[in-house]
Amino acid sequence: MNASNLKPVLVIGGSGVVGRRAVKALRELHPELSLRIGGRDVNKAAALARELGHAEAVRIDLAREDLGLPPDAAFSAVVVLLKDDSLRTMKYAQGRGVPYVSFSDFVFDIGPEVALHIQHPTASPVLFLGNFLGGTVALATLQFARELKKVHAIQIGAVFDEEDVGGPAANADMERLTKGVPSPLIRKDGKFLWATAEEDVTRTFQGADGTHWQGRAYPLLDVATLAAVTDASTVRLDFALRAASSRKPGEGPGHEVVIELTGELPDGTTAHVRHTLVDGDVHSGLSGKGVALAVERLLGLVGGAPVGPGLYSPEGVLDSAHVVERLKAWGTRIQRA
Amino acid sequence: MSSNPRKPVLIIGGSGVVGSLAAKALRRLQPDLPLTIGGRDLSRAQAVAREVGLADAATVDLSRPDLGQPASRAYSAVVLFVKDDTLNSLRYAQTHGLPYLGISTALFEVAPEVALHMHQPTRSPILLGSSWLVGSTTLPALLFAREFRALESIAIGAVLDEQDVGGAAAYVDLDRQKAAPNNLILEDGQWRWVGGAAALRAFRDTEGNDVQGQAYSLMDAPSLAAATQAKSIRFDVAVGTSAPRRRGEPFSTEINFELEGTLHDGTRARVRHELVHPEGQAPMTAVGVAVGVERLLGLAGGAPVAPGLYLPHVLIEPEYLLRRLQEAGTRLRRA
Repeated sequence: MNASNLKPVLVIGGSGVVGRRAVKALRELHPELSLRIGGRDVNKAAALARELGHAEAVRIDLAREDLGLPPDAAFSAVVVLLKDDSLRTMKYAQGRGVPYVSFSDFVFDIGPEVALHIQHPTASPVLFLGNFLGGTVALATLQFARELKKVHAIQIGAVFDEEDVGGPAANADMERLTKGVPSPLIRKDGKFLWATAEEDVTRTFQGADGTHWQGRAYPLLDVATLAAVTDASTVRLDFALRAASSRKPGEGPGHEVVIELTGELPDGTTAHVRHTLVDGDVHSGLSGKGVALAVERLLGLVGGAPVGPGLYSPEGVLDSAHVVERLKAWGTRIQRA
Repeated sequence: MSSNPRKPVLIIGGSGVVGSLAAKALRRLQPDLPLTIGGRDLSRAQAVAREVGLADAATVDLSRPDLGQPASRAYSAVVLFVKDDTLNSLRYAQTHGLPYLGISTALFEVAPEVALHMHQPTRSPILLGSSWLVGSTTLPALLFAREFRALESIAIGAVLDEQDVGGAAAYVDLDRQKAAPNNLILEDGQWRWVGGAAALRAFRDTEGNDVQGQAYSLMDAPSLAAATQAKSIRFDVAVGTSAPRRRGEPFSTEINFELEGTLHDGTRARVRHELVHPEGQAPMTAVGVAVGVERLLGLAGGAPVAPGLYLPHVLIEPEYLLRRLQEAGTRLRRA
């Protein structure tokens, strides 16, 4: 598949905090791929489009079934970086038979999208990309798990700078979390559990530099999808916040992810394997890169033919070795500790 | 059983309150279909198996990937009447390429099952049966929707008598779902989580009593949103005293449907339908499951269902389910 032959990729929320990083990463990967930056503020989107090249801004009206787009508009994919509570964007993608990427789902609120896919199972590839950092962490986890014959436990800890909070879409997500299902999903002793007890919700983990952090479980799709792929009997994802005052001079609000795996090596011995991902950008940077990697895969620009209709997790479409190589090339420091 | 070419359907939780009724409902629909009643208490499962006929009993251990079944045992489908927090039962079905039907998964907790489907999409047909009374609400609603040219809203109010919650498995469900205090409704085209007072809706039961319902999110509203153009959809349950018990009679269950929009003749209308079962929810749930199983196996309504992820309304004709519900004592009334 040649990027210059494709219709534009529509990125709704494309000038937001994650969106601008996603389209820049996509542009870097595919200089010829045409992009449409959709947002409510067309001036902001237009400025970004000029900066990117091969891109235009489009005004999106989520209150309309046609999204406010002209009838002859045609796209190669619809990528939605905000929570579309109406699901009109998904219906639009299904109606045109193009891939749909849903970035902003928590683990508890995919039901309406699942039903819409079940109603029209052969219409579009539908990718749930609500996973942590646009699926990059789940894919890195699977890559690190390759040295194990059987994975027993996956424990992921992340440390964010307190000033690394994301944009309006992220704030809306936090509000939905509070109003939706505040209890996080974890897998413990082989059972899925919507944790309410404090000892289940919290976990202490060691950061990349040895600092101990008190994390809280967060309800992202990774727990469900990593459990499905590995059948690990313990799976959890915990977030901790670091005070901005603890930054070293000249450092920005970077973040780190610690992926700890316990399992069985091919020789039958039990191993505890620890990897760290350290990134100097705000966390939306890796999220945006995850979106770009997913889009190029769905379109068949890398890793095989275009992905056919179906319901997908990032683990189901992306190659873990490719994702880790990409992240390293982009400057994320990945180490086996 | 060796003379029967079909392997038994494994009904996990088949000796419970609803599970045993479902086994009997399935027996009525499919006299030749062998069943295995799975439970933790073998003697209780054996008693149900004897009563049902052409059935045996098995101890099921959900903590094991093989469910504690000997390698020589083979089944034709796996049906769950309990919430399997391990999902070993779904993995077992996928490993053996068997149809799978679960009924206890609320909307907020579907992700682990959906993830297993996404991981191995071509292994098993998975029927997400966790809508109210396993399709007995969504499917009639779709039937009632047909008289509308432009359907605008669907409001469903179910009455569940507090004496009719079900057996131990139902109480486990209610306890687990306390982790999700809020529920999802479709309001003017937008999905919204609601809790507290916003989740309450008063409606009138079949005998004119005002009851207080509360939004409860199973897969009904997402199913109806996917299958219709309605912009507002909610499902509320009033747990309390059903109308007959107010008179000192045994409890009933009821589902009230209110649909609003424009009819095919162009007039606006608000239409109300009522489904009532004088013996409560369990017989309706049992029929919903039995119809789902026979459909999955290709014993009614079409060929065996191919691997994939399904909701009841995409597999089963509403008229067929309604007929089976009525044969089992459900009454339908247009109010």
